[in-house]
Amino acid sequence: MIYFDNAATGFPKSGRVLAAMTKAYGLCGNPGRSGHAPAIYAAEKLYECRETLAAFFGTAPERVILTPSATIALNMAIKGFAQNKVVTSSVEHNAVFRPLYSMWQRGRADLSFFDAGGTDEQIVQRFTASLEGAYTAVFIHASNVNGRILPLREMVTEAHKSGVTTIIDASQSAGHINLSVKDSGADIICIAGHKGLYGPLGTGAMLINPSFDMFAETIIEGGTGIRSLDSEMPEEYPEHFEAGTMNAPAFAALAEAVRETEEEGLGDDRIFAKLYESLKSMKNVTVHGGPEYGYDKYVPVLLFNIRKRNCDEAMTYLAARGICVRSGFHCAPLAHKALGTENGGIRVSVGRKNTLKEADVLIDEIHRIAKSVS
Amino acid sequence: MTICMNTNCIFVLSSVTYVMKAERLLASAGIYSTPVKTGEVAKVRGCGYGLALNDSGSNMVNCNKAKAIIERNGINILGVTEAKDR
Repeated sequence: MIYFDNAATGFPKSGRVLAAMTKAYGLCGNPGRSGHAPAIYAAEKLYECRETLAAFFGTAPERVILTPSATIALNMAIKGFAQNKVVTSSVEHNAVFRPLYSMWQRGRADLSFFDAGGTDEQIVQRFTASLEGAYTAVFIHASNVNGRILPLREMVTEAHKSGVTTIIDASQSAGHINLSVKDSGADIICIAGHKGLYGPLGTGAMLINPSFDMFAETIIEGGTGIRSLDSEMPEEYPEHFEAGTMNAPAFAALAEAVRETEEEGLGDDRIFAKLYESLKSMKNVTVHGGPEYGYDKYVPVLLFNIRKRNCDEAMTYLAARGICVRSGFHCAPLAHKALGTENGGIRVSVGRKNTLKEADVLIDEIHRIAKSVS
Repeated sequence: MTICMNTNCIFVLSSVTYVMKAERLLASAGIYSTPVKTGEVAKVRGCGYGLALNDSGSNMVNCNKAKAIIERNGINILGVTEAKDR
């Protein structure tokens, strides 16, 4: 099998990651719920994951809120911190758009969209212009549809000049490019553990800047193992946000995945470049977006369509030949609207485990479909 | 600053996360400790966790040194109790 759907989830997970999870399942009790060895071991595994993520992404361990997904992290951040006028981009994933839409429907937020297309300078300019009167800015770091990386540090700087809190969806960039809470200055960065980091499914995190001290409302309340006699959630991070039993074995494996990512490096652009150069010159194939502003401004995601071929049918054709890509709207209708791909598209997303040989096979099969178009 | 008066002190901290953090900070200074959930901890905060200095390193000097390290790193100590039931 050839797997080019790494923007959905990084695949395959390594033996090291699976071994870490299996070992933890054999030893973990409920973390933070008692003083016996299995409970303490599980708490150690959670803390180890917080430490590893904190070191990798530039924050403090207690500011790493472990979640079952980036979507839940984003919901916690958006519903906990955002209010009044919220600025967001024209290319958001539903993990950002739907919580914001829900807040707008309930009268808790007014939404203002900025156009996230064009050069970095154009994006920063439009973003800055939209900040007047805003309370929070929530935007994607790298698009899951065409891979475009937004100029994070410059945008955060502009937001802070206007006193606007920043919440970043880094689901697609974490594990692909260098990303630091501290260096970017972002107030909150939400990540997926299972995509570019190749951790287990069902892992994510909300990373809070140590200098960000705004109080957050919680969206989930319940047992935390501490202050059980209090009716309210504890104020301390991370327990303020983490109600219920945590999946300690999965987070033990996520820590291992991050260590492995550090050792293997973040990958390079050779496969991405080969795919882009081949597809953009292929007859009957249209690449939407593509790294037109330089490879350093994109994560390795390509969106394309084949003339007269429905994207789902093309995906099915490839799947039948053992090649995994994703078709449709990628949970990002705003991005497809911005790109003019209202009928969806075929997405190829490269991971660090892919090879140039696999890219050759994919290119040949796409060429076969494109050649069949009359 | 409160001075530790016992030789088997347990630092009561606000969460198991801070217990883990303090444990690592102390270990890096050569002071070894163990996360505990004892009656002494419960008296201070209801359900909670503490960090007990290990017997081998537990003396008054270490207790005060440990307290200073924990506080210097911004970790709030809710109380210091004695390990009676360890």
